[in-house]
Amino acid sequence: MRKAANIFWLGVKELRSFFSDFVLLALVVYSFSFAVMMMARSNSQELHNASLAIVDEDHSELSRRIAHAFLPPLFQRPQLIAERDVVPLMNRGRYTFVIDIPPNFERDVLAGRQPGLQIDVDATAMVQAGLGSGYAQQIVSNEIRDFLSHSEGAPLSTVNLAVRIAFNPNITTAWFSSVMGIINNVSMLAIILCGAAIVREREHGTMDHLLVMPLTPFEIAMSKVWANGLVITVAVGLALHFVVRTILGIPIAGSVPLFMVGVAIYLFFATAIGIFLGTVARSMPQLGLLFMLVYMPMNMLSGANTPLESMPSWLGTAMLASPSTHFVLFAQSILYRGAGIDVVWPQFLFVALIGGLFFGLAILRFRSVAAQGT
Amino acid sequence: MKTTAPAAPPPADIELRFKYNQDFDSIYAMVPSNLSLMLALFPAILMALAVVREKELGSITNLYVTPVTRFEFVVGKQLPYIAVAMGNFTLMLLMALFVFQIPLKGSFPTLLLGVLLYVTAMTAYGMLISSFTNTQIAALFGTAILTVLPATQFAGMMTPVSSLAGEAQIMGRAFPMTYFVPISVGAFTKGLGFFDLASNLAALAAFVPILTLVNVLLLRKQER
Repeated sequence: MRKAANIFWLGVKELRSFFSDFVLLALVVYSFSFAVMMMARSNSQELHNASLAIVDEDHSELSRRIAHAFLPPLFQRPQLIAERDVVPLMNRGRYTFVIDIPPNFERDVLAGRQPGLQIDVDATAMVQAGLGSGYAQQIVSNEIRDFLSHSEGAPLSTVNLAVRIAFNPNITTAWFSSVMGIINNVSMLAIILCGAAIVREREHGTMDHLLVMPLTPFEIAMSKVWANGLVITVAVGLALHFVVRTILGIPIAGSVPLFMVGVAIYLFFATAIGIFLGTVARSMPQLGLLFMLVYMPMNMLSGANTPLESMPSWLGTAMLASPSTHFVLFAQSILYRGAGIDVVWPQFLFVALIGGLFFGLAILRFRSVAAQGT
Repeated sequence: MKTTAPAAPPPADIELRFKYNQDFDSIYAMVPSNLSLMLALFPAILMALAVVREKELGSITNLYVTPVTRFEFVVGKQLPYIAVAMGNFTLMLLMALFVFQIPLKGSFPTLLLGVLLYVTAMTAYGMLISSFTNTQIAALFGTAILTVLPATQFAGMMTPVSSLAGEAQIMGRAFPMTYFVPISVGAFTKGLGFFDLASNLAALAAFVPILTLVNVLLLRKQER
């Protein structure tokens, strides 16, 4: 009972120092509101507004049709450029795609001579080049087929393929990226707040004050976990309700309370990592560097940006050991597919286990650091 | 898939040519852009913390009581971190060349000049964040949130900045990394030289005096 009271009051102290730092508060609000909205609206993960140029050496009906077939929002309106400008403009990254229509293209198509048409793709713009080259090829060949069927009445295709996209019918990436933005913030904030709370106490020497009081390292660590965990959980709840649902108008399929339970479990892990790093780092700059080392791979490889299946198989398997990966998995199943506890419990359990393991490690580190002093 | 009826020959031969990277192998774009990412994050974080640390631990008094000018403080504080970042760059360049086997096809002096301008701009960016934060926690979180999001999403690492929508594009255009990614990717993979990259170098160079001026103006010579 006494232990619980200690943990409670130490946590309240932690909350006070958090709320008295107005800049920090403003940054947290920014990261869960404006930053999430910006990420959701940026279209950075899909083909949008791709820059395209056409070298038209044919000046025919067909070449004009091809140029008109590229429409916003997928592509910008194609610009007509001269052939000698292709290399300098692509070098500057001005256009991701350049379509070169050779002289007499229309005449050769009509004569069935299968003329060549070249699409230059700037392969250094990875996401856009990958998605867009398929689209571009498709648009050009459809346009040529249309043109031929108008002029000679070619038969229509006999089978109609209908693609049905489950769970996100318009494939809007805002659905995906807004929640992933929140998830990235959760890890970032949890590690930094907890780690920095420890390092600050060590730098200012107040850690010694705490240790000479009748408090155990467990109580000190636990108070930081609940206080910072609470702040972040509340921030996530508000962000989901006001930013994702109200402002961005994204429907949430599953149960928000269930998701919040998951967030709380994940936060236990993430704050434990923060405490662990806080005991390893001797100064705030060291913590900053350690944070980047841990956070960047956890974030970039968690499946929030690239599906695990697209990674090399050993890396995908290795990332399954990271709770951040499971967090992304259960967030997607609950929020998008409406999964219940019966589906996500193994992931909850796994995150809780790894979280417990790290918390134990952090307490051990904390004890030995406290024993030797700073 | 097999079709039973013999397909009609396609009316035209549409040929995709992946320029600069014939196999469309992501490593040739990812290594140079990750180099840019690292050189954005570390100098900015270290710089912001270095200044706020003095505020929090009290050694900023040295600035208040000695006749050091604000300009001297701003530039002098940045120099060691620029040197550290150049050291980082050397290490990453060696890794790119020998571990990842990415050839440097373009001009090395241009890349070096670009890196120097870029890390100077990024340390100045970190210092800008330090001017409105008073605790190291806020400085660390502030720098993280204000560099990681634009750097990974809006600076052209994945998607060209010209394709981004709305505020994201504005934020991308105002972030130094947007101008360095083309230099890094250009020098490594596209095989470009000084004149191809001049406009990006000029944009990066413009960040340095502007940010330095803002930093000098925002730095208080007196404690509030």
